[in-house]
Order: sequence, then structure tokens, then C-alpha cells
Amino acid sequence: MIRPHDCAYAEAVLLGESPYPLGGVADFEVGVADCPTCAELSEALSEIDVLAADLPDLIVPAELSERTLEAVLVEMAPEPAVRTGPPKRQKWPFALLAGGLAAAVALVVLIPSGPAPAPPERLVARGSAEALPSVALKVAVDEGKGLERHRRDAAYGSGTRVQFRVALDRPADIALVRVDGQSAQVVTTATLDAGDSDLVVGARPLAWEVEPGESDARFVLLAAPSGALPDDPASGLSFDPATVGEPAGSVCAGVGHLACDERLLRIQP
Amino acid sequence: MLQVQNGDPQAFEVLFGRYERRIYGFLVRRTGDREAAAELFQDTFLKMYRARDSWDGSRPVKPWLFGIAANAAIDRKRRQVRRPVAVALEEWDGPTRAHNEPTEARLTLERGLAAMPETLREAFVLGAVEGFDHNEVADTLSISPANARARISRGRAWLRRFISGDSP
Repeated sequence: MIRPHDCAYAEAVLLGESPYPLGGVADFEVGVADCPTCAELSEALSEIDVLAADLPDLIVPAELSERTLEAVLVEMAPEPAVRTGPPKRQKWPFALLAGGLAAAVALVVLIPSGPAPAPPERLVARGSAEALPSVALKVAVDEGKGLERHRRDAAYGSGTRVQFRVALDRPADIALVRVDGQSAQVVTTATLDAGDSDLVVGARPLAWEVEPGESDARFVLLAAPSGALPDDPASGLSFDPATVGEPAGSVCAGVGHLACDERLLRIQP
Repeated sequence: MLQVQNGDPQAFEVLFGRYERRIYGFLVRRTGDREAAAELFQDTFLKMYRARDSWDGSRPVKPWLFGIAANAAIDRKRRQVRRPVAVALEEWDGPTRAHNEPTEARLTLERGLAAMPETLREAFVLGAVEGFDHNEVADTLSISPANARARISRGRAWLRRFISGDSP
């Protein structure tokens, strides 16, 4: 039985700050039940357990399950017997080589010399005359002191984490693309509802972590009505590598028929 | 497990079927990253098979297997930080929306789990989500039962503060 003056101790135990009394867990729990303050705390903590126990099972993707099982079963398979006779002639490498050469020749023949690379306007929403969504990209940064609003005039160091929020006036498919002086890389794609949505990985916010040596980059958000975003949103982006890091530069200016917004992230040299 | 030790593929398939979902769920919640969890999932079962001879027949399989998964997650974290990463939710300038919103309470709990310090999260997920008792958590994480109980309690208290909006 916990006397009234043991309440502080009981609370500390329930919060994991003090160890359970040696050999007296059952008595301790009876005491907690008899003490209104402790019982209230205990009940509140129990609700967390109920919620946690109620979390759904996560389904293993079938492909992952099969791949894993196969990988282990391959290891379990007995080693092939050691061949004692003369090795068989292996014709397949030559056949493969010949086949590859033939395919390469066929490709050269089949690929026409033109047309020239498509202009940036080729980033056209697929088969939809539907009006484009209105989109805004918001960026927040964490330099180790908690999230703050991104400052356009600031340069950020390695280790900074950048998080993204998207504002849409209607549901849309979006792609977040990072463009630096050398390449364009899709960071993530998602289907979002109207309103403000944080970009996430699973249930957690997605963040870009700046690494040493990273250059200035633009985070470009492309949006289109559901199903109308190009398969590879990064490949059609046109940008001038020399101006990607310039405040006056713009990737969105070269994007036609997709909603677009962008933010320049300047990195400390 | 004894049959697995003897290289019986069918026994392994049975064992795999029994634990695959729980191991996957543990790894997703442990890392907060499905891609990382998928990589670790395969690692875990391969390591389990490769380490089959180290299993002590007098011990239950569950903590041994989850221990391999927990260690694989620690090893991976030591090796690399992938980009982009999932991070703890901090204060934005307004409420957050999620794509597959289940219930607000569950979502908040998942966010809290993602933000929780790792040592507490690991023990709490095993104890409160996976239903391990204190001894099993202790066995899995190679810590004392008292330590396991304390970590779970502190994780629970941490989540309560997180859910109520207090600074954990």
C-alpha cells in the first residue's frame, strides 16, 4: 500500500524516473490504484499503451517478401557438386556478344537522327485540358536549433535540414525536383489534397540534408491534375546551369503547362 | 528453429511467414523510413540464417530474431545517412495534414514515435506495440529487465507529453 507521502515516488516510477520497488510490483500497483493522483496519471499512461497496441500491422510489400525469402533460400541451397571432368564448351558468351552487337547495330539503324531535343515546353500535362492547380512551395530549415523559416538571403551550411510544405488550391499530383548546376533530381512525388500539406516519408516529414561540398540548388515543385504529371518530371526541365544559383535565375520560367513554384537554397561555400 | 539450423527450407518458410510482418512493422517504426526498413528486413533474415548456429536452443526465437533486427538498424545508422531523410516533426506555422489520414490520435502517436529518442523508441515499440514483456525486451536489446521497464515507462511518458502538446 502506498501511503499519501509516497505519491511523488509512485509518479516517478510510473514515469520511468525511479525503479519499481524490489519484489513489490503487485503491492505497488494496488497502491497506485488507491491513490487518486497516481491513478489518474496511471490511467493517462495506460491510454498511450492502448493506442500503441492498436496501431495497425504493416503489410510487407509482396515483392520484398518474395525477394527476401528467395535470397535466404538461395543461401540454403546446397553447393553445386564440383565438376571433375573437362569443362563444357561455353558457347553462350559468344552468342550473347553477337546478339548484343546485332542489337546495337539495329538501334543505330532505328534511331533517327532528328528531331532535336525537345524544348522545355515538352513538360506538358498529359491529355488534360483541366485547369492547372495553383501551387506554392514553402520551405523551412533546421540548422540544429529547431525549424525556422527559410531566409532567401541566407546561406546554409552542411547538416542543415530542409523541409517542405505545399499549398494547393485543388487536389494534384506533385513532384519536388532539386536542380543544381549539373543535374535535376526528383526528390519525391506525391498526390496531395487541396490545402497545406507537408511532404512526408511514411508518417514523418521528408527532409533534405545538406552535405559538405553541396552547391546552391533550386527546389522546384511541379504540379498537375491527377494522372497528368509526366513520368519523369526531371528530364524535361530546362535550365541554365550558370544561373541556377543566381537569385534572378528561374527554372519555372522554362516550364510550360505545369504549375510550378521554386525556392533557391543558397549553400555556404 | 532447430530444423532451420539443419538447413530445412520449409522450416525457414514457416518461420519467415510467422515473423515477417512483425519484423517489418518493427523496422518501419524503428527507422521511420520504409525504404530503409525494406533494406534492413532482408538483412535481418539473411543474418538470421547466417547466424543460425549462434541461436541457443534454450532461448525463445522471438527476442533473438528481433535482436538481430535491432542491431541491423543500429549498424545501418552508423554506416550512412540517406537523403532525403525523415525527421522529427517540429513546429511549423500551422497544423499538418497527412495523405492517408487514419485517425488523428493514431497519426499523432506515429509522429510522436518518429520524434522519440531512439533508445526509448526501440524499447517502447517492442513493449507497447509488439507486446513484448519486460524480460523479452531486455533479452532483445541486451539490457536488464529493470532498464527495459524504465525505458518503456519513459517512452510512454514522453509520448504523453508529446500528445498533450507539452515539450517532451
